[in-house]
Amino acid sequence: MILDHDRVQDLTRNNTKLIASISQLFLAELPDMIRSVEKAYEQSDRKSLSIAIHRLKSAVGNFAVKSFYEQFSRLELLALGNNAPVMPLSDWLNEWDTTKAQLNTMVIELKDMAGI
Amino acid sequence: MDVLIVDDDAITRFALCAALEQWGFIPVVAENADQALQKLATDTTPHLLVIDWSMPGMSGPDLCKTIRKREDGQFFYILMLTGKEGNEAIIEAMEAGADDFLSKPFDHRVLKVRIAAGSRIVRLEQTLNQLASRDALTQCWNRRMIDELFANSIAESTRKRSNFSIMVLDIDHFKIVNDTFGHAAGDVALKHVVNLLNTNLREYDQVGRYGGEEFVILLPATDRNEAWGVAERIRSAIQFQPTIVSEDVHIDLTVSIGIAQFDRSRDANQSAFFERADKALYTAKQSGRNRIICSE
Repeated sequence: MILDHDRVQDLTRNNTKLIASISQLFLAELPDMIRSVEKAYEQSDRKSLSIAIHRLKSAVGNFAVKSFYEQFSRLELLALGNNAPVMPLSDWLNEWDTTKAQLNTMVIELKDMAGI
Repeated sequence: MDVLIVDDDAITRFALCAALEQWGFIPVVAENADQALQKLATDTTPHLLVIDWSMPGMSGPDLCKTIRKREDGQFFYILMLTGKEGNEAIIEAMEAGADDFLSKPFDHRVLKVRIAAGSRIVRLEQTLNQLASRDALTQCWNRRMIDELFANSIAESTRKRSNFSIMVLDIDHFKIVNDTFGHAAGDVALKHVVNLLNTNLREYDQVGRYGGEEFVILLPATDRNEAWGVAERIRSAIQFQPTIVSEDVHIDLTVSIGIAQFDRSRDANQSAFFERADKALYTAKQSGRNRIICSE
């Protein structure tokens, strides 16, 4: 389970309308956030890549279990490449693909919870 | 209480707004530091701020530093939200001027108690500010505050090239009131006078207690003729509405008032301007009291 049901219920006080609204907002923003990540990757722009991942991480943090959030923290750090050994961006992409697949799972879980 | 949320992430803003409304606060939102600074430049600026660390343009810590550089003496309680972790991030946030720090993803129950603590500090600060700027007996501005407002009004009048007048008002023979009826009755009389001043002044006028029974009244956007009209309303209100200390004790009061209109070519500074109104008051006293004299 990637979605943290307790977190979403806590965030929305289990208000179904609020769950639907916040989920729709997230789902509406998500394609643009993913596009920003992939555009930065294509341009090999590590700084923009870490910023785009950070933005996605903040949004995901409202819904996901902590371990998934931490996965984004790791992607952000690796994208920036400040610490040796610096991970090649091609390896970074593998991690991103795994994370993106899990993100899709979270989206399905979220849609299910929100009834949308 | 208004709470300013500064976060570039729409979902976090939405979630925070919903939570703050639920907890009885009024959320005000900004998507970046520039928008936040615009909100903080208004008269009704929020004093409790929730700021995200990473934002496009100016970062959260830089926004904190900018806010702390303000020279208007306003207090802001800043809670920094961030996806960063560890002591280094806490130190950096606090050194930038944040009062508290919360790592994302945060537990909303933790955010709730942190916001509650912040709002208590903002209220305490506002109470202290109130105590430091108000006259304890009459609750009008004290001398320090009215002097500050006086300076601001001169600056505003100069900037806008607008009229500005002041009144210096003194209760006639107030020593006799104290000697005859006692200091407690004298205090009631002072409160009564301030009450009448507030009733007869406009919303944007300011009253300050300058000394024992002397008051300064700032009249923005007012020329000497309009000031005269306001002063006459006050003078007659005080003359015809005695202070009622008890069923048996009614104290008749009169006041003398000196008026001056700010004249940029003549008044070199605040003191010179005040001096003209004060001299007019002196003339009013010398001419028999219970009257208004306007400085030429």
